Amino acid sequence: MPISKGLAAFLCLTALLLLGFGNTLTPYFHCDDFLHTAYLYRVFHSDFWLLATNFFSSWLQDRSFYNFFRPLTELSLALDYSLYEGQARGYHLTNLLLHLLNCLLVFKLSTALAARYQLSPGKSCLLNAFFASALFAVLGSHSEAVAWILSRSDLICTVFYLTSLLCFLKSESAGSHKQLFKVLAGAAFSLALMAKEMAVSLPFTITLLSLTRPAQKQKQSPVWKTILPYFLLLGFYLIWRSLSIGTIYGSYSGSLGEIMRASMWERWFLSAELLRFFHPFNIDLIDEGSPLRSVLRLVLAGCGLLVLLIQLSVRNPGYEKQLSSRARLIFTLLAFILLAALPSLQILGVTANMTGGRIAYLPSVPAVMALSFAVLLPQATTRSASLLRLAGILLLTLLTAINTVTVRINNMAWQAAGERIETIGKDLQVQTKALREGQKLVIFNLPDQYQGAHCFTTRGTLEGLLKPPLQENDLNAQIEALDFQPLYSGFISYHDYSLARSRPDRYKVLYFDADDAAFRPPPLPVYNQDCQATIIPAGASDKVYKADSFYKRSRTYRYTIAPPVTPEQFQILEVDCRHEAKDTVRAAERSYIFVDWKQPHPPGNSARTTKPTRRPYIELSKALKQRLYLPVSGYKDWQLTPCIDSLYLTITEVEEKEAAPPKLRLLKEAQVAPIITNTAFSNMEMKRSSTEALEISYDISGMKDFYQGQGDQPDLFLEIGKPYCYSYHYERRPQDSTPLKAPLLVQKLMPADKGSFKLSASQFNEEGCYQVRLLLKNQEKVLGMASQPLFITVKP
Amino acid sequence: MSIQDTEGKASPSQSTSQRKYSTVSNTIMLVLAAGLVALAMSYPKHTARGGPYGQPDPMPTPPPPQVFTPPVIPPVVRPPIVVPTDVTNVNLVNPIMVPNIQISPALSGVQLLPDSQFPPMDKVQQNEDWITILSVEGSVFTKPNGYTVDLKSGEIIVSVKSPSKIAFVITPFGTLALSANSDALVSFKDGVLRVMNFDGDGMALKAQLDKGPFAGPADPTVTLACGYELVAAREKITRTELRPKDGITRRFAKVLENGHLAVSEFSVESALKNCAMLVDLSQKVSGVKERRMLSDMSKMAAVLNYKHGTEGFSADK
Repeated sequence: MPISKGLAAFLCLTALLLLGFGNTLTPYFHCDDFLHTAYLYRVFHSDFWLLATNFFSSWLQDRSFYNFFRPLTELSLALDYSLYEGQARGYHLTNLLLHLLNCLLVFKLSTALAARYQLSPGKSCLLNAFFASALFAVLGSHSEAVAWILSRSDLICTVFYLTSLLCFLKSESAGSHKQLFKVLAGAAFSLALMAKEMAVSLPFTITLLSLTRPAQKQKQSPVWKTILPYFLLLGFYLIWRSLSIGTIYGSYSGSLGEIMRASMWERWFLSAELLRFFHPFNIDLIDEGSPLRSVLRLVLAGCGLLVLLIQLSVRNPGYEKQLSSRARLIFTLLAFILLAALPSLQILGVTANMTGGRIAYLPSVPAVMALSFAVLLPQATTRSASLLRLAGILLLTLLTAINTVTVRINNMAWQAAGERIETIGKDLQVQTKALREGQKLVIFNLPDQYQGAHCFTTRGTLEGLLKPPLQENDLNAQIEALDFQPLYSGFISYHDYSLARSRPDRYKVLYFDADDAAFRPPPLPVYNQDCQATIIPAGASDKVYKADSFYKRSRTYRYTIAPPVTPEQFQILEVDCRHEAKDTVRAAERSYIFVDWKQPHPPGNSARTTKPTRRPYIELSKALKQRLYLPVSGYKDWQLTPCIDSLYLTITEVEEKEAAPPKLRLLKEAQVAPIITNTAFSNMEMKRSSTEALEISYDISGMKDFYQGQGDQPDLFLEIGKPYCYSYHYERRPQDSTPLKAPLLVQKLMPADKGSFKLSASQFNEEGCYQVRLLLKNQEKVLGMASQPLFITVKP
Repeated sequence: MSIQDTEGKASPSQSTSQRKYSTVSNTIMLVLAAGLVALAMSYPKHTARGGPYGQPDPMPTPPPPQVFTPPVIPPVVRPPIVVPTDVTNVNLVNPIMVPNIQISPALSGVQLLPDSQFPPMDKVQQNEDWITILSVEGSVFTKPNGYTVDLKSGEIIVSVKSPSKIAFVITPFGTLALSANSDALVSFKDGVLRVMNFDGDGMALKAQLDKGPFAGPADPTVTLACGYELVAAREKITRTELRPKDGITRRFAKVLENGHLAVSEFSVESALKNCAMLVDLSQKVSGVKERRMLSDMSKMAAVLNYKHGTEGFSADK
């Protein structure tokens, strides 16, 4: 390859990359980044050897909801920390450089593969390689991988993965340096494994390449000899990793891991999330009617037709041989996509905001190469072939242009989320300074994501923002966030909220207003406690509830509440439903009931721009007649609505036959579920070193009317689950018959309207967060359930 | 599987093989072409999201809201001893919500302790001469060592005087610990445990109830003040257990622990006159220990009458 062309390709790629990802240099840190800034502050200020422990333990020594082994990624972050400390821009620059390196590797790998499969030795394959790397440089689904600092694990892993493949290909041809390239391939593979677990597919990819190698290369050493060192390295890595993290599997753990494992089939295939990789548009920024989507469709269809045309029209014997080689290469690349994607499929799903798009980073390498080789003829000697080649260039240029625009728009979500998070950090600093002595700041409604960009998902992510190096002093002692229990959910604990509201001398309560990105005091409660609200059906209102294209059919009913209620008055919505759920084959099309209400503009804000993201919903079972209980009070939006005068109930995927609107009733939580009455916030905490027991009080006196007439006197059970495993805790459903998996403790409590029980730290073998459940059961039927998280810490 | 390339002139068998590979390559490329067209026509699905609604309905004007100013909580003047386990008392379950806390005076006699404050029953190095155990006829108990009594049923009086330090009484509902200079009556009859502290001041008498109905999470450890009686029962405590017809006058009863535990104040003076064992004791003419017990109890009865008054004591007949 002449140097001038290589340099030109490099400059073009750099320019393209800056065009697509230039706006990722400005955002702040996001979400899990904060766990690492806080950790690295500890490393650089008190315990430098902590960094080395990542080679012999879980990542950050954290086995809560994650159990990963990525020491190399942490080393790279540490290197950035030593250069930039709390300056996010430096970290983003490193990500961008790593992405540029990957683009160059894609270019090199494309030329190496074209040469290996003898597509067309010479200049013409450079164009295929260029388009492959250009497309990779600006692929719309790469937004998360490049714009999120912590996605660096994907970037580093891909760097070493591709380096290893390149060295492997070189070792096939290099004469005197054969052994050197083999060693380099093995070393690069080891480093890829240290960066992210998805590199485990590399030995299988090399097996694939060995099996599909051209005839003259098959005379070289047998396949098993070629692949053996990689599998030995993989075996060694698996043993090392298992010993370090305590399990062979790892990955997302606790309830988070269980949810992901349980829904893998549903996520990828039934809900067709896979398709989102080929339509990588963030729905909050590029809506469904955007012309970008249509142009992409046209270009994709054009690519398909061109591939067909090439295959059918070219009859030249010389080309036939070339096309056969091309088909072999494309087959190899398609299989490579599958191998590269398989380890990550269990980990994540991809949302309509392209959250989770990072897992497509490595698999997109063979995908762009396959597309480039399929659409663009490597060589053209006839006029018709030249025309087809020209069409290929045109389509690939269009595809690159669409992706450049798309990724730039998608990156804006990360930019906006970063700005939002930075504002939150600054605001909290100001708010804590304004606190009176002894007063604590209670906040809620923090964003877990903004337009698909991660913000705060666990308590640790907020704690990191409030600690050095991002703050001068640690502000955590002065701030209590109600959003995390312990993961982020649409709920806050109603008990916590009312406790904080009732003590303005001790707690200053603020919520984060998503519309103007500022903290505001929640609306003043209206004292109207004794009112009995009646909910009257106000007729069907078809198509007012936009259920999008996900549900084929839905029906919405409108109700008015007279007199209007305030959020403090009622906590539970009883739905007496007589609808029959549709007996669907596709699990993704289960029948649900959604509840919505009108949310007026907050005071001082003329226009509401953000859409309500979470609304109470419940799955409709197939029973004809059922009474369902939706916990509405914990929903943040419910608490932030000063006065609720109407409700909208949408039922999806029900049988077509007409049915009367479900009857609705608002109830107090105590009427349908046991109440845990603690004196502190619901994230109960106990030190393992402590000898004192934690006393937890409960009250079921309000449920008498509910369970009377349902057989014998019910029994009350206390259940404690495995650490970090939560069963229906986040939904807060008052009725849930799902038993805990392998509970740590099941204890029958003394039957009484009010009582208490004690938990001592010695009952818990390890630190962590446990789900404490109180279940009122009649035989096996659960009449009511209360759930509370309990943190066991080892802090002195 | 290996897709091989062919070179040079094809023999008939090679030609067949070449055709085969040509078919395979055609198939691969056609599948790819079809896939790309299918992708172009596919629509990724999006989950349901709330709103936006159509034309908003006219909002009915809500009644003028009465602005609720959160109540300024007056500083709660707590009595000297507070019992957090009193979950039956709604005022104590959530004291924030109800500012006017009413606490039964009987609760002044009992205080919840952390389990760690209950003295260990390991071997105690002490002079055991001044530990006295008196019992009524028919009582069933054993003495595993000089300072421990395992009461199965019946009624005993345990007295610990200096220089002896501590004595333990093991009962079917848990263990009692009596420190120096305390006298207590312990009885266990028909599933009811009764402990009367005659003169153990401060935290001299501690009870760790962790057996029978108290096994499991609800295992309170309490200290009982002198002049108070603790009643624990397998079944829910009724008035019969709370105020037995024994001639001893009582006042201010309070039921705790879901009805399985109760505390009441009794008159030590009336116990000296009506408790059969104490009456027998007072009629004895010899015994240094017995005289010291009676002397201490009499003094305590006078002190308690002075401190707490004598009004309200009554006995069921």
